[in-house]
Formats: sequence, C-alpha cells, structure tokens
Amino acid sequence: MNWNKIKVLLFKEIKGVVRDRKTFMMMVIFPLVFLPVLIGGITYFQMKTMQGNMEEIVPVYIEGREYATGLVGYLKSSGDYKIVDQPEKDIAPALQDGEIALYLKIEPAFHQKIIAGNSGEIKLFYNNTNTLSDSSSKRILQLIAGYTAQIVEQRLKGLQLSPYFIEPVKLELVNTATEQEKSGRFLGMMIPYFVIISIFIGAMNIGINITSGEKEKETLSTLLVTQLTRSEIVVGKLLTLIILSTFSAILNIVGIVLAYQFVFSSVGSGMELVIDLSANTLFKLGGLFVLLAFIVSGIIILAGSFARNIKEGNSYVMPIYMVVILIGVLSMSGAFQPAGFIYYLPIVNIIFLLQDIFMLQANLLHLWITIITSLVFGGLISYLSVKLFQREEIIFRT
Amino acid sequence: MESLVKVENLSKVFKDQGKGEVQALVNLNFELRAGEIFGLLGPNGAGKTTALRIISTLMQPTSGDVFIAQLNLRDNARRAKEYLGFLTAEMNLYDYFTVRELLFFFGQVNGLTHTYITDRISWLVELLDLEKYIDRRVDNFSTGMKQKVSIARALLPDPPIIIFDEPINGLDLMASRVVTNLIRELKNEGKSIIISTHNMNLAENLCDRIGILFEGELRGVGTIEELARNTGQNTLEDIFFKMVGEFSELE
Repeated sequence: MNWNKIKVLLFKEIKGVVRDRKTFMMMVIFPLVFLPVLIGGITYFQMKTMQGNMEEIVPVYIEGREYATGLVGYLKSSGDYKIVDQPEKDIAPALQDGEIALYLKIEPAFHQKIIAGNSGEIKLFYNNTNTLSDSSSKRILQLIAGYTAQIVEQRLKGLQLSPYFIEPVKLELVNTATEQEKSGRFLGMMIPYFVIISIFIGAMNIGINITSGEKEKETLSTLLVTQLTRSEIVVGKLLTLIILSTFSAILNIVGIVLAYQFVFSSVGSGMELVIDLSANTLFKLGGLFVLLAFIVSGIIILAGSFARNIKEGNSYVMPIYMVVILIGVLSMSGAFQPAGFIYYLPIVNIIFLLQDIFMLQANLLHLWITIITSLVFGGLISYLSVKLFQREEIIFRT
Repeated sequence: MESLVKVENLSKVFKDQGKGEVQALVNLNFELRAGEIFGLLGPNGAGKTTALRIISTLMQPTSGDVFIAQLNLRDNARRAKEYLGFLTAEMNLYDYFTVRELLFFFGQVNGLTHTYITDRISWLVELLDLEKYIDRRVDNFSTGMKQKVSIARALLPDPPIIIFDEPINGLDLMASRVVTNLIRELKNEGKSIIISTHNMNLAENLCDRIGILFEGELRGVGTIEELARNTGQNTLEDIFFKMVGEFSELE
C-alpha cells in the first residue's frame, strides 16, 4: 500500500467534489444555510403560531349562558374569551371555519344542580382540525377546572371541612434534570437521525459518482493503467468518502444546532441548548461519526463498484437508504428502548450510542462493543469492495 | 531483433449471462519488436480491445502468457506497467481538471518526481501544441483536443512501449492527421508501438507489421509484403478479405 499515491488520489477526488457546484452546494451550502433556515423557519413559525394562539382572544358561543352566570362571569374575567352571539351557520361548520373556536352547551338546570350540591352538566364542542379551537379547548378545560375548584372549596367550607379533606396526599413533581440533561434529551432525539441521514446522503452522491460514475464516464480505465493498485484505488475512494461524509455530517449538526439556538432564543420559550463540548465528548462523538461514515462509505463503494452506471448505483443504494431512514426515525421517536443486543448491530448501535452520549447515559461496555463491531463490519465491507474491484467482469461490466 | 511485448498462446473466455461462454481470443501469438509499429487489424468485435486490455494489465488472460520487457504479467503486472503507455477511445479524462492539474495527477500516481513531471509537461505541451490550453479545464475541449491531452497523459512517464487502441476513432481529418504524425514521431524517437484499428489506410500507412484478427483468432502476421506473398493479393484490403474469407469457408 503506497500511502503517498493514495493521498494523491484522495486530493484528486476531493478537488472533483469541490469543483462540482451541485455536490458542493449539497454538502456545504445546504447544511449551513438552507437547513438552518428551513428548520429554524418552520419551528420559529410553529412556536410563534402556538404563542399567538395562547394570546388570542377566543370567540366562544355559549348556549344557555343565563343558566350559569357565575361560570360565564368567570370566563369573561380571565380576559381570554369573547362571548359571541349564536353563529348563523350550524355549529360544526362554524367551528371548522373558525367563526367560533368553542361552543359550550349548558343545561337549563345547571345553576339549581350546583346549588343543590350536584353536578351541573356542560358540553364542550371543538374541532381539532382548527388550531385555535384545538388549543383553546385545552385552555378552557383548565379554566373550568379552576372554577370547579372554587365551588368545591365553598362546599367544603359550608360543611366546615378543610380543603385538604379531599386532598389527603399532596404530590409535588420535581424535575431534577439539569439544563444540560434536558438539552441532551432533545439533541439525543434529533441529532442521531440527522447524523445518519447526512452521512448517508453525503456519501451516496459522491460515492456513486466516484465508482459507477467513473465507469459510466469511462474514466476508470485511465486510473487502472496507472501504478495505483486496485486496493489503493478502493482505499483512496473509501477515505475520500469517509472524510467528506463526516465533514458533511458535522456541517449538518452545526446547522441544526444553530437553527434551534436561534429559535429558542428568539421566541422566548425559556428553553436553551446547553451542549457538553468537553474534549472527551467531542472525541467520542467524532469517533462515532467516523465509524458510521466508515461503514456507510464501505456499503456505498461496494454498491457503486458493482453497478454499471450511476442510475443502477442509485437503485442499489436506495433500499439501504430507506432502512437507514427507518432506523433514524425509530431513534428519533424515542419509541424504541435499546436492549443490550442492539449494541452488537452495526449502524444501529452507533445511532443509539450517540443518543446515549447526548443523554449522558453512555456506557463504556456499549462503547467498546460498538467500536469493535463497527471496525469488524466496516473492515469486512471494505475487503469485499477490494475483492469486487479486482474482478474484471464487474469493473468492465457495461 | 529484441521483442518488447511477447504474446504466447493467449486466450480469453468471457462468461455472458445470455450467451454462456464467449471465446473472445483464441491462442494468440505475436510480438512487438523494438522500434516498430505493430498493427492489430480487425473489424469491431474481433477481440482487438480485449487483447490490448490484457497486454496493458487491465484484464487477466484465461490462458497463455504476455511478457512485457521479459516480465511475465502474471507475476509482475505492476512493474510491467512502468514500460507501458496505454490509450483507448474508452479512456476519458477527469474534465474538472486543467491540463496541467491532470498531467500532474497522473504523474504523481505513477510515482514521478515533481521536477520530472514539470519538465515532461513542458515538452509534451509543446509537442502537442497545447501551450495555450495548459491551464484551461478539459471539459470545454473538443474531441480532438481531448485526444491530445489523453496522448499527453499516456506519454507522460515516457514509456518505451505505447499502445493505441483505435487512435483516430471519432476524430476529424485535422485531428487524425495530428495523431498519425505524432505516432510516426514517437517511432522515430525509438518508441515501440502497438495500434489496433479497423482502418485499412491507417494500418497501411503506419504499421511495420500487421496482425489480422478476426473472431478472436489471428489469421496472419507479417509485413504487408509478407502477407501479400502468402495470400497472393496486392492490397491490404484484399489481403484482409482473403484471409477472413478463406477461414470463413473452412468453417
């Protein structure tokens, strides 16, 4: 293995990527400009809309308001609701198109029942496809619960009982998670998904281009007649992919973190991203990025070397990409609790270990298992790629 | 005369999913002597490119041997490459490079020193009239210009043996003239050259000796005079069809 020649090949491949505007845009401009604008913009407007809904005066039609003057006064005094007249349309379309956000139907005997110590009945109609109707339904439930608590307190007083009579146990929830842990949970859900996707996309475009693309453009023979051995060519291309896809993943992560920093600070959500940037964490994260890039690059080089042209190469890689997206989505949903065996599965183990690191739950044994299995699997894929590259019926397949 | 390339009983079988086993080359025997131009003449699909790919180490023979400067390719392919410059119509260039960058890249992967590459580039761009284009990207070049750059790429390590597979295929008259003149000039400098072609004129004008290849078999090898004597024909075209026809009748 002549590393100087491999280095020359590596620089040539990188130069090719940098000079290809489309690939360069996808690799650098997309994560640093489009991704933050996209994620930041969408999240910003979502949060702003939610805030707006919380602050908006909600139009409510109350049928039978004369039977519950106390409750109506209570709602009005909150300042969040405007009691409107009966809409001209039926209730359902009025809720759907937003003419009213809520419709309360109070039974005629409501007041009498309350006085008598019974339950007065109210029906709340809302439409969860209308954002304001959906969010204000939750708010009004809280408000009515507050009104109910007042009535309960009065009843208990009338019976000369303490409010604690019906609350024998007072439970207080105390969240001991630090800001860093809260951020870690958030990032642990988001980042692994974006890491796997960005490494895969980064490696896929370039990898197919420098393998089956070279066959299609008939530049591969030019390389094969040089003093480079086929193993050196595969190693050079593999290193190119590892470096560029890791770089792509880092840019994506920077873009995402910047986007959320902007969102959280600008909408005043009270959340902030506290990230552990210690050398130890960065070393572990960087190492896992490289291991993931190693495996993904190996798979793409293998598929790209086998394919006759770029189109065929993409068709081989696409199904693998879908599986990778599935793993990413599983990790992001938090619906899957990783069991011990997960750490023996290449790619999957890196995703869940990244999550563990962000959530400050990384386990040294899992780390070692992940490193060893990834090196073995990546090495095996690379070995197969070298073997494939030595088969002329594959290399000269047209 | 010393032979720089020696092909002995060379056979190649391809496995095709639809056709089964395809015999591309059958017991080929020929040699390239020092300082000569040897032409492999045959129609498309005769096996010329396959033969040249094996000689240039791109493919392995099914049986038989190829010696480059006495080195058997089976054991010494990497060393043998040092003696070879190979150029085919299927060898395109990385078009995002300038001519200088491209030649530097191929020089470096062939283990040449910076000074040597710089000197060779100066000589080659002058020889091929590429001075004005040296720092321009290849993707904007015409086919003829690209062929010139490809030739510069093949000649960069100054190999004693140069293999041209269909060297004027797809070139216009002007570019063809440049290439044929260049092949003559290389011969005058003492290079030994193998060309493959289906172009009778090119073979007749350039080659010292010719091998007629048809359906993977070498039907005859020699100078045009020798081939004419053996077949009783006068022109290369008649010689070719006589040899191909005679064999077809026997089959």
